[in-house]
Amino acid sequence: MGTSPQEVTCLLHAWVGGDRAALDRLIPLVYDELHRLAHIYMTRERPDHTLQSSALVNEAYLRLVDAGRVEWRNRAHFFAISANVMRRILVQFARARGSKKRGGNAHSVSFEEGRIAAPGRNRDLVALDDALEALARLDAREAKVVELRFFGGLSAEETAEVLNVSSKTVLREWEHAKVWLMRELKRGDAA
Amino acid sequence: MNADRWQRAKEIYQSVIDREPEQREAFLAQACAGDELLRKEVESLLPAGWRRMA
Repeated sequence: MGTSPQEVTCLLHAWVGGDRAALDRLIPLVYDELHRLAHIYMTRERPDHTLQSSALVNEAYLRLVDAGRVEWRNRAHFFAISANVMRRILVQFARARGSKKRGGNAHSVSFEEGRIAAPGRNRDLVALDDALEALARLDAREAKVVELRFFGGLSAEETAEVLNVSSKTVLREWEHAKVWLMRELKRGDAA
Repeated sequence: MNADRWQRAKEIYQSVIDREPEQREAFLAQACAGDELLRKEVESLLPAGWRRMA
C-alpha cells in the first residue's frame, strides 16, 4: 500500500475544511481499502454468515486513518464516505454472486439501534439497495440517513453532524425509514 | 407516489405516532379527509395495535 495514515488524515482534514479536490483523492483510497477488506471477508464467508458492513468500515478507518489526530467531526465524515462506498461494493459483490436466484426464505435484514449488521444473504442486500434507491427518489435525506446508519454504522449524533440536521430529526427519519423499508421488502417477498 | 404525497403521508404518520392513543383514530381520519389511498398508505406503516399502544 502506497498511502500512509498521515496522508489520508490530511486529505480528510482538507475535505471537511472545504477542499473538494481532497475528496476526489480520498474516495479511491477508501474504495481500494474497503474493496480489499470486503474481498477477504467474502472469500472466508460461510453461507450463513451475517455480513457486518459497519465492522468493515471501522476496520478500514483504523487502517487508513491516524485515529489519534482526527477529531470527532472528521471521523463522522470519514464514516459517511465509507458508508456509501461500502454500500456500492457490497451490492456489486451480491449481484455478482447470483442474486437472481430467489428462494422462499424470510428476509434476514434487521435494523437495530446503533451499530447495525447488514443483511446476510445476497438477495436481501440487492433488494434493500433497490428499496433504498426507490426511497431516495421520494426522500433523498431519509435515504441518506439509512445509508449512513446501516452501511456505515454511524450513530444518530454522527449522522446529524454529516447531514447538518438535529439528532432528533435523524431519529424520526430513521424510525420512519425502517417501517417503510420493511414494508417494501415484505412486498417484494410476496411478489 | 410522488414526493409531495410521500411527505404528506410521512407527516401524518409521525403525527399519529406522536399523539395520545385515544386521539389517533380521529386525527388520522381528519388528516386524510376522505383520501382513502393516503389513509391506507399511512395505516400500512403503523404498527399493529397503533390505536392503543403507548
